[in-house]
Amino acid sequence: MTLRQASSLLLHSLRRAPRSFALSVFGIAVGISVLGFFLALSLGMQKRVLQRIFPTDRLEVVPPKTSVDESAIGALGAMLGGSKLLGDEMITTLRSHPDVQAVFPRMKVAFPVRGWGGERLIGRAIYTDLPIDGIDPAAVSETTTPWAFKDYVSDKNPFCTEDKNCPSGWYCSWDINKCEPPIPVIVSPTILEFYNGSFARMYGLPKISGFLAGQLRGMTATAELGKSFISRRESGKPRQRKIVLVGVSDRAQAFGLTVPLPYVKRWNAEYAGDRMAQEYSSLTVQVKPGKSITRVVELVRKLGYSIEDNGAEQAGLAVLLMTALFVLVSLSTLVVAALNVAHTFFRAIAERRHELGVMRAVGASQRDIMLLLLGEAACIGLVGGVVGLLFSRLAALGIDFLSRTALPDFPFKPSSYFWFSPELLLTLLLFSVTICLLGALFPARAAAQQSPAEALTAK
Amino acid sequence: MPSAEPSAEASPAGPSPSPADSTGDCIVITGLRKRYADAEVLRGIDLTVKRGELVGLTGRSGSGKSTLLHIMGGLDRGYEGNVSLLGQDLARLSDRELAGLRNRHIGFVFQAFHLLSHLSCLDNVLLPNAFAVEPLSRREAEQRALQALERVSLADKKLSRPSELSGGQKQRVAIARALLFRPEVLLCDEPTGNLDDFTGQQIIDLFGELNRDGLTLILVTHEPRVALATTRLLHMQNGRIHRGGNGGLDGASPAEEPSR
Repeated sequence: MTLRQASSLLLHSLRRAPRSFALSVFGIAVGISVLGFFLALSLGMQKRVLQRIFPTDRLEVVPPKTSVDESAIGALGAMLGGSKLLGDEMITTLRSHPDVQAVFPRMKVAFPVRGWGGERLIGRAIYTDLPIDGIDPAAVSETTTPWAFKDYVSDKNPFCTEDKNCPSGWYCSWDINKCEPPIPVIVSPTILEFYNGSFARMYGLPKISGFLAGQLRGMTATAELGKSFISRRESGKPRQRKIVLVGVSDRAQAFGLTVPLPYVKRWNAEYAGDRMAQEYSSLTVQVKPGKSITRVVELVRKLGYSIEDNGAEQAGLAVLLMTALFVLVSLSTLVVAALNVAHTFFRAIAERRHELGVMRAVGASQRDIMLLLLGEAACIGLVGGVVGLLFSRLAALGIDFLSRTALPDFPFKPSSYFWFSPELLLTLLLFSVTICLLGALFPARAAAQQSPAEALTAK
Repeated sequence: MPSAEPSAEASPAGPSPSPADSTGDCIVITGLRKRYADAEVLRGIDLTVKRGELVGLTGRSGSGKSTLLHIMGGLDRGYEGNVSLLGQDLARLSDRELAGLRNRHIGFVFQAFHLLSHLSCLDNVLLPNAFAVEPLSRREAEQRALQALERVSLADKKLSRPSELSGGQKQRVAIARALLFRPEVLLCDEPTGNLDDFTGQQIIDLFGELNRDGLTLILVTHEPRVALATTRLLHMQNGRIHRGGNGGLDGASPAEEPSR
C-alpha cells in the first residue's frame, strides 16, 4: 500500500465515523492540554522568573562558613594570621579553571555610610543609611550614562577650592581640594522590581517605568562616609561625596548601591584598616556558556570556601516538585485518554469486522490492516495534540491576561508565566501521537491477525 | 472486458501462477480437512477445477461449502491437506503473498455484498487497487473501474453510495469490484441469496457471460436455478463432496466425483 493510497483510505475511514473520531480526539486533547499547560508553566517559571532572580550561569564564592566552635578557632587563627582570606590569590586560582569565563571580586564597605537625596524620584529627600559595595568595573557590561562606571580618582585630578574651579559636572571635594566627578553608582533590577512591585504601590509613589531609557539616570545624591543615621558609631573622619546613578545591572548587589571597586578599597583602607581593603566579601564566578557550574563548585569547596546560598536550589526544587506533581496528574489523564483510544478502537474494530474482512479479501495483508488502523490512531493523536496545545495556549493567554489586569504588581511579575518552546510543542505532539499508537496497537494487531473468513462471516 | 487468461499487466503483484497451471487446472485440492474446535467441517475433500469451468457447490447449511470456498480463496488457513490455486500451494504462501494472490488473481462475491458504505460505488470498485503491491495509476485504475461498472451496467451509478442502490445493484457493484484486476477465478458465496428472483436471474446471467468470456467461477448456492446455470454441480454433505455431476449447462446426468 503506497502512502497516497494509505492517506486516501485513512481519510475515508476517518470520515465514516466522525463522532467517534471527535470523541477520541477530545480525550487526547484534554490530556495534552493539561500536560502542555503545566509543562509550559514550569518552563515559564524557570525561564521568566527563577532565572531572573537566580542566574544559573554564575555563582558567588564567599569565605568559609563556620560553626560556633570553628568560628572561635577561626578567630584564633585570624589572630595568628592564618585565617582563610578571599583575596587576589583565590581570584587567580579560579580564573585558571577551564570552565570559568571570568571572576569579579566584590567588597563591602566595612564602615557606616549614610546618604540623602531622591527629590527627583518622589519629590522630597530620603534620608537613609546606605549599604554600599564595590565591584570590578569590568564586570559591568551594561551601558552607563551620564558617567562611565569606573574610578575617576587619580593624582591628576585638578586642584580646587570651590566647584567653579572644576570641569563641567565635576565638583570640588573640599577635604582634599581635588576636583572629582560624582561617584558612579549602579543598582540591580531586583531593587527596582521591589520598588515597583511593593514600595511604590504601598506609598502611592510613581513607578519607575522606562528607567532603562534613562528617566532617572544622572540622579545625584549625597553620601557621607563614616556616619550612620542608626548607629552612633563613627569611624575615621566623616566626609561627604556626591554619588550619581548611572545604570542598572544585575551585577549590582540586590538591595543597596554598588560603586567601582577601587573606591571601596580606598575607603576600607582609610576607615577600617588594611586587612579590610584586601579581603573580598565575595567573588562572582561567571561560568563559560554551555558549561556546568558543578565542577567549579567542587573546586571551590575543595579549596575550603563556600558558595552563597541564594535559595535558587530550593526554589528550583520547589518548581520541579510542583511540575512533577502536575505532570503526574496530566499523565494520568493521558493514560485514561489512551485507554479511551484503545476502547474506541476495540469497539470500532468490532463494528468494522466485515469492512476489514472485505479489505483482506480484496488483497490487504495483515500489515496493511495494521498500518491503516495505526494511521487512524496517529491522526487522532496528531489532531488531538494540536487541539490540546491550542487549548493550553488559550488557557495560558487567559491566565496571563487575568494576571495583567486583575493582579496587583509584585516583584518579578512576568508578562507571561508560560513558555511554549518549539521543542515543547514538538515533544507534546510526538507524545500525543505515541500515546494513541500505543492505545491502538493491541486492537490493531488483533484486527490484523483475525482470519478474513471469520471477519466476513461474523454475525 | 474481464479475461480469464493471466495477462502481463495482471502479473506484477502476488505470486505468479506457476508452470504447473499450464496443465489447465485452476484449483487442485487433495485430502482437505478442516476443523473448528471440536467440529470437523471438512472431512477429506479431493477436487479439481479446470480453467473456464463454472462450478456450482450446493449443500445444506453447515455442510462445509462456504468453508471450502474460503479455503480455496486463501481467506482461511489452518487446514490439513493440499490446496493449490493457479499452481500455487496456498499453505506455502506468506500472508503478503497470499494477499497479493487474492488481490490480483481471485475475485470474491458475497451474499451480503460487503460494500463499504462510506465509499462511492467507484471507490468501492477501486478498493483492490489500494492494496495492490504495484497499484495502477489513479487514472488507469479509474478507467478500469469504470469499465468494470459498465460491464455490470452501473456506470451511471459510479458516484452513488451503496445505501442508494437496490440489492441487485449492490451485488453488481461487488462483482465489478471483483473484476477490477481481471482475475482468473471468481469465488461467489450465495451471490443471489439476498436478491429477488428477477434480480437474481440477472446476476446468474452475468455470471454466465463472464464464464463464456473465459473466467473460472465457483458458486456456492442453495438455489436450483443457480445450479442449473453451472457447467458442473457438486453437492456437499457433512464435510464431504457427496456427489457431483454435470450442471444445467452441460446436462443433468450426475457423475461421481472422487470424494472420501
